[in-house]
Amino acid sequence: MLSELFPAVFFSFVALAMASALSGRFRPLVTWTAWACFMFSMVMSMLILAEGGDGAWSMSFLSLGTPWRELQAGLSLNAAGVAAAVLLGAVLGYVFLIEPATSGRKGVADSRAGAAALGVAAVSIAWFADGLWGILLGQVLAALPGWTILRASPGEAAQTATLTTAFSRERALGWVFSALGFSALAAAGVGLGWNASEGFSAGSAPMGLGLLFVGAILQLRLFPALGWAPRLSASHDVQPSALALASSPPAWAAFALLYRMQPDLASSGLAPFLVVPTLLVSALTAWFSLSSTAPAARVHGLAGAAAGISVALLLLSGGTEGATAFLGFELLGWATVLILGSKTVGEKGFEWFEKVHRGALVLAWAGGAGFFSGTVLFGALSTTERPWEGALLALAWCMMALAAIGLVARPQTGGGAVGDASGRSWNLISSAVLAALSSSLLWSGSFHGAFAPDSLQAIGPAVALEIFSGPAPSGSTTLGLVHWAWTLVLLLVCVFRLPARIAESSALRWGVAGEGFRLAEFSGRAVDRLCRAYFIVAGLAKKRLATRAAAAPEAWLATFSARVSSLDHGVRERLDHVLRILVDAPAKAVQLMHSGAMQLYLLFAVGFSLALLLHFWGRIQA
Amino acid sequence: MNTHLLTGMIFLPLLGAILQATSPSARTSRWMALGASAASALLGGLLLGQVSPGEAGPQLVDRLPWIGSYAIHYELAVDGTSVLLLLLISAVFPVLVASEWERSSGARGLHALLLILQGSLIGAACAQDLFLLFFFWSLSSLPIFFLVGVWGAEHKEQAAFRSLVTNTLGNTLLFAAFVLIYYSREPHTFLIREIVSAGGMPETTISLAGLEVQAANLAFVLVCAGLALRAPVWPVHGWFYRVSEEAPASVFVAVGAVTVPVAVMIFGRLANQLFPAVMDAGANWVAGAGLVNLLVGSVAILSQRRISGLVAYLCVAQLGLCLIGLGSQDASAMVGVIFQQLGAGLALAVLGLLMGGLATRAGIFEVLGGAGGLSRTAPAAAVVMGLAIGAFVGAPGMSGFVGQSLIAMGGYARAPAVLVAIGISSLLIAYSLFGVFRRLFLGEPQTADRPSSGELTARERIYLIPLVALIVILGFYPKPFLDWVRPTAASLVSRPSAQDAASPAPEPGQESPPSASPSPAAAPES
Repeated sequence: MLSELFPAVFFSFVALAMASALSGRFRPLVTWTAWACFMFSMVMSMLILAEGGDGAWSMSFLSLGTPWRELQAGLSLNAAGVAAAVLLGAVLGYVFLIEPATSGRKGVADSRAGAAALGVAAVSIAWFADGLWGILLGQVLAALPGWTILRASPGEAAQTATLTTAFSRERALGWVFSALGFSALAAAGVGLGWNASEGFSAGSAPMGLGLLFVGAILQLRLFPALGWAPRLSASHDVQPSALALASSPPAWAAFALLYRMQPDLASSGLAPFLVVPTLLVSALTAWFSLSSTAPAARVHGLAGAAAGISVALLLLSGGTEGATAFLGFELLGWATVLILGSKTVGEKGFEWFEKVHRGALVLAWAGGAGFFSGTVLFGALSTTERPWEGALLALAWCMMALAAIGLVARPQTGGGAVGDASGRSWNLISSAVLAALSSSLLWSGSFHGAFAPDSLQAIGPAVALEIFSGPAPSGSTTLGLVHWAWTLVLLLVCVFRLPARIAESSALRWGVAGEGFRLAEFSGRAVDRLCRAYFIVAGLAKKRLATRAAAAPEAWLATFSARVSSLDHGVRERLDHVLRILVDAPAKAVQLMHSGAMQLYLLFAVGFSLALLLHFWGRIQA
Repeated sequence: MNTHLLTGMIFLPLLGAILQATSPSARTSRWMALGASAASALLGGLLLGQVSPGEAGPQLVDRLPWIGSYAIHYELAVDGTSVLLLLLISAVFPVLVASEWERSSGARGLHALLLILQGSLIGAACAQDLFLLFFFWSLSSLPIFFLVGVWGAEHKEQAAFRSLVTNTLGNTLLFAAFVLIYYSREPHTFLIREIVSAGGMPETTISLAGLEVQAANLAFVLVCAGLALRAPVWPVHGWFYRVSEEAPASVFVAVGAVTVPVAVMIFGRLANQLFPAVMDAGANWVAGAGLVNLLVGSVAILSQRRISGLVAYLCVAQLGLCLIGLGSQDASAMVGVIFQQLGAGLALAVLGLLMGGLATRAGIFEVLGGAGGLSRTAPAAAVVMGLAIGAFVGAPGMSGFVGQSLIAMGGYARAPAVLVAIGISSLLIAYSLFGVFRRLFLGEPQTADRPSSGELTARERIYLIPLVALIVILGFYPKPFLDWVRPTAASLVSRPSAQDAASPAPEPGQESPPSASPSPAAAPES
């Protein structure tokens, strides 16, 4: 009965979430009802899965191909989808529904709660869809919260308009590739329905798979599809949480497609060729985050780099490993957004907690927790026989870690708060919860996180013991390289003030190590100095890229379009001219014939011709 | 039992045109015009309920002998190629009549011409006799001339004249083709089913200026040229662009969103039924013409200052997409073409009427200058515009995705480069339209010199929202619509085997012998 009821409840949630974006007067009621429906549907889904069911529902959507086959569209519950929906719902529900409600903020908060509901609905559709069309539909719907958020953002209207347009174009870019991939797969005879073991059974259609992969990657905030993020100004008018709501649901929906495609990518032989480009763009995205000035842009880049690494893990190790990494990193990203939103001047007692929390987040991003995680080790073990991929993975991870350090370690002053002072403590606690959840996912490499003792025993502590109790891995092996790279990052985090003190020629004091943990003056100076070279070079390069690379295609396109229009105009004018002659000539001839003189001439010509004809006709007859 | 729905659909608007023109009260005449158009649309709805999804051949046939000495019949029928067009015409024309509700001068005349256009397009879409098809098709060009010439903008006369000359030339070429077809076969016939039963146009040669020319090839070229001049096929689309600049929004929608799809449908039907071998040989040329249209339209959109020009080039691009589908000679692509005509037609209608409303109420004629921030003063218009953009971009969940995907599927099977072209076009259209949205609806509101906020009036909401809802329904659940189209589309691109060619063609009224490929159903006696 639960399986039969689930589709109705789920689609009610989707409908209410859409209605919350449109309703005006009754928006709070509709929004809260939508969220209640969501919670109910998630409880049902978990119960259905526990019973061994799948809550499947489908309808015939499209007939295509030759010979004709029916394309189904429907729902099918799976553990990954439930985990994704529940986690995203919990995060967005807290940030945009509960926190504003407890702080008493209305108006904008209501529209954002509705947008968040819509985002969760879209992501749920993408993760629960039993066919490719449903996943693509989820990707499209996942863009709607972004429009709502960007439209309602405060600040200069022109800037918001530019951001919204760039956001829309980026989304459309991904959709077009996904739609082309859909067509290519359908043309190749692929059924486009999904099952857990074989994916879409599209291993024989690499073109379509490649297009779908590109379409999904373009939604993951990876370089160069960062689009609107680089245009963020250094102002805090656009809150990091709002921008995260705009960019997060499309990424979650896109990863649903990648997760589903993993068996096809593996069987088609495409996966090994996609790892290196993915890791390269992840590293570039992390560099973008390092070199950006606006906090929201840095979060954006950081999340993108993490998503790219998750995709690489998916390609290297498998769908589960990649998905857990993605979910874990996304939660870590939200934890970062929440901590960024909190003010440093706060209530007594929580100040210390905030500082420790920031340090813990830095450790998590830097892989301190991930260093022990089974998920990361899966990636490392998978690259043992692929040294380039392993090295790139390490590079991308290190760059991401540095970007995270530069972001989290620096105290954020000024606006951009997620909540006001009364909600700040809740932000910290919730951020801590998210960070713990994230670490458990990354640690265990399973969707149930730390709640599965077997996986924990099997993977986490055993691995840690193996690494640190046995002989140190040789630096010449990939695992060894990765090991030492992480160790270096950890050391940097822990003792970052030491190089700064030495550089300042101050007396080396034993207390400096203690001061390193004094997060009250947590400034990341060593990281600053290390990255300053990056900032200078990256800033220059980015400025050139931003002015040339970003502007050049637009300028070229505008010029090319103007030339085509001009050519078209010329062709039209010439043909009009020919047409005019064709019509005018007989018309003028007829006009001439109406004049008396012309009629006389015509009469003479006709008479003369007749006379000639009669004359020669007579001769012929003779 | 034949309920003569098609005849009713054609002649109700014609009758309404006459009656409302003679009505003493302006208000009554408006309601009569709307009533006539809506009644025809209602009959269309009833007709859709009676169309059987599994049949490839003509259904609901209306047949009467007309000019017996020349074997000209009044024969109408609906099949998979025309059923969605009937839906398009039924959905759009009442909206067009309603959109001209507030017309202060010459409303009777305008409504009458729109009704005549509605009836003639239905007749052209459903005619099973070539002469009858030509009759209705050429009849449809006259209202356009008057609609543009009387109610147009500053240079209306020039635009009307150009449209008349071009359309007349096209009609002439088409008629020449039909005459050639008529005389190519003994006994002479204009009936399409008889020509198809006999295997299409025979392989005869005629002498033309000393040259021996295949009659089928010549007729095919004449049909192509004749219909290309009516549809905005590049490079003979100049008249269309002029009409877009000068005509009122409702008239341009009638031309771009309805007449052009009918032209494409007629071409697809005639080319595949009457000249299958020639169409096979010339498919690449058709696809090539489509490619040129698609790319020219997509690229030129970006540099358009006037909104009317933007919509015109969008229409050119959609036409190109359909021609690519026709040139693919694939069943999926054919289904996609027919579906895309409906989807793109609805989207063009919505966009054209929306932009027309902005021009009329808020004085916004150009993309640049004088506009901006409309989403704050006109949120409903912004939502409608956004959905229309989604349809053109081919976002999943909108009608454009289904049509474009099916055309891309069929085209990919023939040439993978089609996918590249469609991808580039979609990206360019998305880039351009989002830019237009940004300039018109986002940014700082420019309300100082605007006579109105630009928001949709209650009447506009009443007639635009059903069109938008249909676009969304087509995107979410296209299966019932595709089931109507699929058998006919498959039969159009299937080619009879040698066995089928050896078996005799069925006489009218008799059952056709079993064959490997579907053949048109015998016309029942009415």
